[in-house]
Amino acid sequence: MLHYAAGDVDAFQQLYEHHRGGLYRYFLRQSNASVAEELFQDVWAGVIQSRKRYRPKATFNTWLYTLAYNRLVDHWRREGARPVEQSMSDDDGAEMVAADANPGPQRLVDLRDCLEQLLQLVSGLPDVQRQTFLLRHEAGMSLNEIAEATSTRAETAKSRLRYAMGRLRSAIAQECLEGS
Amino acid sequence: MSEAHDSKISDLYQTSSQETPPAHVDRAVLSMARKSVRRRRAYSPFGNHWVAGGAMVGVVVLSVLLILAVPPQPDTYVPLDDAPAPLSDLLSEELREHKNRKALMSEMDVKKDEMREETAAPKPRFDFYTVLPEMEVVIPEEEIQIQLQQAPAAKEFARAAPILLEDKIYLQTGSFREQTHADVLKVKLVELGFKCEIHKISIDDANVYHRVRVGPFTDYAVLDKSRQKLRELGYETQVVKQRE
Repeated sequence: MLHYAAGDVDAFQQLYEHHRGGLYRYFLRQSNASVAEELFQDVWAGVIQSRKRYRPKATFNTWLYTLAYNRLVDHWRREGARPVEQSMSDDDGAEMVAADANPGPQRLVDLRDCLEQLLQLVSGLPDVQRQTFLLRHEAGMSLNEIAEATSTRAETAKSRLRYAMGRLRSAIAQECLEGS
Repeated sequence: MSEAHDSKISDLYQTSSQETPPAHVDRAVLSMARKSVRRRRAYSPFGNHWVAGGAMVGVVVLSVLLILAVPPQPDTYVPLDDAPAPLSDLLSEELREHKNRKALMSEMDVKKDEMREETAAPKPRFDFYTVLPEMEVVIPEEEIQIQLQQAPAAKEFARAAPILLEDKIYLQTGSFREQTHADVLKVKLVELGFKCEIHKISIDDANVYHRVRVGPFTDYAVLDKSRQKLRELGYETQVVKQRE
């Protein structure tokens, strides 16, 4: 990023290549394709516009996803669908295991079916849990980095991730978790 | 056991998560990045000196060449031994010039009337403007700060000494596929007292975006003030230049 700030366009291209997929999917899992494209472009425009202000006190990854998180929250606020912060008591995980997407008796032996079900379950997670799950799995961020990007504490990020995984674990068809 | 299942879920998710942005989005972002760097280079002091120096040398060389190339005008050379023209010839010459002047003036009046008619013709009004994507440039934050810092007095006394903009500069507050979404934001901004336009942009003739933009602005101080006000109201903006 510092190289791009100094005028090296190739450096930007490498950065973009590395982060484009993860960032795009981060938005895609939380909106539809056209909104994801808009938000994705907006975030990169923000990176380009404020590259001189970038200071390597945080990793580029954290900075990028902080912009992405803020842009998404801003989008929800404008659309009037602001996510409600969930109370994250220790008991919440147990209550949240009831999953609508569980196919019940249907057997999911096909890997494709498992993948499809998992994506549906991720989309159906509560907003804060989905955010945390995606920052972990798409951005590859540590709990501390997730906490920084979402302006929360590391313990909260850890709880959210735990609840998200618990919900997915309980809802996904057992066949998907068995075998190699 | 749950750790093993978590690991399995993570692996499964990584396998399923392969989507990438469409090619036109990639092109738009990379084009934006390139344009932004080109603009910044144009503003570097080193580059400016070379450009300014080169332009001045060019002007001097062109001037010298023009002076050498243009032959002396025939009416500037008056031989001393030429006899003065008779008075009748001078009078008829004066009369001819008067007639020519009159004819020229009446011709000019006709042209003025035509121009008046053209300007009086009603201009079409549009709800939004269709613009080409390559005609828009995102202006980096540092460039705006440079413009504002170059004349601090003008910032304080914007009314007395505005830093005038040569191009159309807008504050982009949103970009939507659906025009109705753009219309909703426009209405909100207009209600808040901002002058607002919707620019329709087509990328690759297939993807149409409706950019909601506040402006145009004619001076940086006003632009900066509006940007701060929008930020206070919760609208993050991008400063965009629209080339003619």
